Amino acid sequence: MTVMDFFGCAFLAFGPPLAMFTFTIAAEPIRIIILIASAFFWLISLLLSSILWYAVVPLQENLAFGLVFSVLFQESFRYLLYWVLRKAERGLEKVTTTHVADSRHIFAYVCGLGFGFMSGAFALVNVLADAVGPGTMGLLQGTEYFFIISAATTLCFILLHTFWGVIFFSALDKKNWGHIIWVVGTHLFVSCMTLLNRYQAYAASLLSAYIVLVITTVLAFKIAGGWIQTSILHFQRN
Amino acid sequence: MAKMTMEIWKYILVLIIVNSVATERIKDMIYMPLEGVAACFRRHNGTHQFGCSSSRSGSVGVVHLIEGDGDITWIERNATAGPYTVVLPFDMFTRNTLIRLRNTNNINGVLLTRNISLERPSSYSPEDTCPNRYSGYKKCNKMKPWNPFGSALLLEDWSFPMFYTENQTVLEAIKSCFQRHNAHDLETQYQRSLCAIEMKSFMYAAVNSESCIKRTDFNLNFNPTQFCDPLGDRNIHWPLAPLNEDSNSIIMVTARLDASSLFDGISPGAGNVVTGLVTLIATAYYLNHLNATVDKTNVVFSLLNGEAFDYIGSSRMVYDLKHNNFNALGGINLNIDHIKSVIEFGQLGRGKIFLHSNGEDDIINRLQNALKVSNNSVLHDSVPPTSVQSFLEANPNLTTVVISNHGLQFKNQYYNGILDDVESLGFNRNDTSTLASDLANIALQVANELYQMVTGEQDPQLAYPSLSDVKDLISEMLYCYLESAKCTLFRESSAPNVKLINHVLPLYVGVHRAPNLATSLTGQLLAYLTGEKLFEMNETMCHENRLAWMGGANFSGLCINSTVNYSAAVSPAFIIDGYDMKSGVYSTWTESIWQTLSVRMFLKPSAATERFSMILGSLIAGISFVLVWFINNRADVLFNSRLKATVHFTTAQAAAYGTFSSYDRVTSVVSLIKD
Repeated sequence: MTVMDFFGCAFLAFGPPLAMFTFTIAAEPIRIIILIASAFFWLISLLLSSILWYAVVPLQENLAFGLVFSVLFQESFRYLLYWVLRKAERGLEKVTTTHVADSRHIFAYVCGLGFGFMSGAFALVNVLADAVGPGTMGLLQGTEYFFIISAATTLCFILLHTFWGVIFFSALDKKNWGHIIWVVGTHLFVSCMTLLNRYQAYAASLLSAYIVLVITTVLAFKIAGGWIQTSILHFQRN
Repeated sequence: MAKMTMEIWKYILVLIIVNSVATERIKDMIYMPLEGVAACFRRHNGTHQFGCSSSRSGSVGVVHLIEGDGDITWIERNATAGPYTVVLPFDMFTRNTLIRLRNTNNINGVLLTRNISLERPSSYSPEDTCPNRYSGYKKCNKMKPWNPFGSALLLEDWSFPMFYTENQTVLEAIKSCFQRHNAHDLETQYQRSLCAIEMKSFMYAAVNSESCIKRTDFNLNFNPTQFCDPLGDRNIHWPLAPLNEDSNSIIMVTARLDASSLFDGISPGAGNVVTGLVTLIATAYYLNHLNATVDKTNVVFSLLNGEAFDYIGSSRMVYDLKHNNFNALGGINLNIDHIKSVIEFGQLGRGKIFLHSNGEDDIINRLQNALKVSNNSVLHDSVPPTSVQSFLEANPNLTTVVISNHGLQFKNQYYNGILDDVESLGFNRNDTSTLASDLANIALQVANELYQMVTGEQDPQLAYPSLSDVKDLISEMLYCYLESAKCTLFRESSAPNVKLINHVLPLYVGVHRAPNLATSLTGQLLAYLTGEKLFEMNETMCHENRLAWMGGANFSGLCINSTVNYSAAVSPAFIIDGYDMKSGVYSTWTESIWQTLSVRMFLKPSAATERFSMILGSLIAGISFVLVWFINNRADVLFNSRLKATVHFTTAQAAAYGTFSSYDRVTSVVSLIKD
């Protein structure tokens, strides 16, 4: 019967990203290519994190260590991806009809989503695999809402990665160091908050993650040129 | 590498950081495997299936602790969160309880537990009241059956899996889980997440022996799928002296070698098998020391296997004897007519002895006198359900004597049950005065009588082994069979450096494909005790001469020249071409194949939690699809910047203002861009 749990959690975590993929990414081949490239970059960052973790034996038991370095690796690779994309802009112009230089926000968004997809998949697939079985969490430790909380956190991270991508790329374009610090800082903060999960303080980690998500979303919206007043005006006009 | 990275990511990534030292998977946090459990499995005969099986993927049931009758009534009437797995204490494990549970159709498993601090039930025998009811020579008296304690649980097809445990930590874990999650607010149980147990003991065979063997199609596949295997193993034989080429007059001395029980790996058979078995070995040992010169009459000791399942061993032996096929003893064909009489060691114990005799012969009186059995303890024309049944079926005029501790009904309250162990027998290794002494006495007297029958002379009073030596031997053997197979005698009679298991040997016959450890150890022990010790031989010489290399007294190695041999104990039903499995002539027992036998405990999510996650997931997914579609469609308005207002923009706008004329459309687009 926990097949229901499986699908519930899968929908919760991957439903919104899937919707974003279907409507915004799948429309153009170049975006799919960039999505995959960014997912690949995230994978390399994971690989480096694991090599580091594997090499530093005494700190293997210490989660915070691995976590902090993993975040730093991810952010470095986000920068690398930015750098590579900027280099490749001219080349990309030749293979696509889109003006790459004009749609930088879109590509930042695509890169962020690629990061999010990959990290979300790695975060949740193991959990989902165990959600199918007849049992749920709570006999030895944890709560029976463990799977839902996991899925909700994954969703939050996928969305965060997407908007971090938008903010980070534009901040690099404009040399806006404040935004870069915001991205790296909140990434560290949200990740570290999840360390509280071991003390079953799920509310604290989940709530802080979503608060950061809201702020980041607003920031990304503004950076991408979103203008709430005109939007509201527009909807009122309709 | 990918696997490693995934492993490591567990440490790093947020969701999985529930446990600080997360070397374990999520699975390990959900499930608690219950160790030290023994499963009930499935057996077939020619017409039926018996035993238990789980469903293919495992049977899951909500834990319910049964402590009294009221709990069963509650399951029958008020239970809401079914199906259940009931945890039964041993004194509740009766036929009546199980039938009631089965009739609720709300049971997915039974976990039988034994609290070792509690007293054991006064009787528990899963065997039929008439063991081997449908086979043998003499039918059982239904009004006064052999096994009055029998509940025939073994002869029932249970629709749910059953497991047994006496692991007290497992018991405590289940109890505390039940108290925490299930025990309170029983009426609204179904609304909560509940402690549940999953039992995996799926049996591949079904219906009966005939169909499960038929399904194993050897002709079509190179690697055929097995569904069941015939029960069977080996019989052990030892002749006092080499047989004559032509005519023989044989006194058979037999005992059974196997017990049975409902659960895999536990069939101690203490009172049922071991007492008779060790007495036979002691008799052989003593008779060997008497150095009888065999003239006309010879003695053959046989340990017969699979007797609990319609006399597999003895019926096969008789079948071979009848067909001149029995040549386990020095390659000489023995015939059924050569057998003059059969003496069987049945269930033995402390105190009074009974003789169940058939036929009229001097041997009965002689044994009666030697064993000092009173007249009313000699039961004429009485044939207990033991191996002699097979011999009598082939030759009703045969003289048979069964030496046992029971009259017309068994004294053993745990016949073929898991409780028929050292405790029920009251054996104490350091106290050789009671059980060991009584058994030694029987062995000595029978050996002396055999000596007289073979030689016609009075027995020589031996200085060694004396009665107390035999006592010590029996006591040591009882320890080997009843307490731990890691004992001096088994070590002496096994090859040096062989690792012996440190627990009670299960005496279940098993399937013929897998050699039974108990049989091997018993055969080696008999060879060691009766064989010729060749001290001058070393290991290579010993192997070159095809002799047995054993541990010896100081475990350093000793060569034994022995005439102990084995013969197949597989029912004739499986070697006769086109045998009608339903005819009931020979044993047709088979055992099903299984893959896993395991039990684990976990929290089963309530339907409400599942619904909640499903609804939440679908809702979020649905809303996000609508929202993203909406935002994407109105991207031009939301993101009011030049770069968005390119191709995308115009198409979206075109759709939105589809009713306008082309001129209007262009102007409106231009005006929006200006914004």
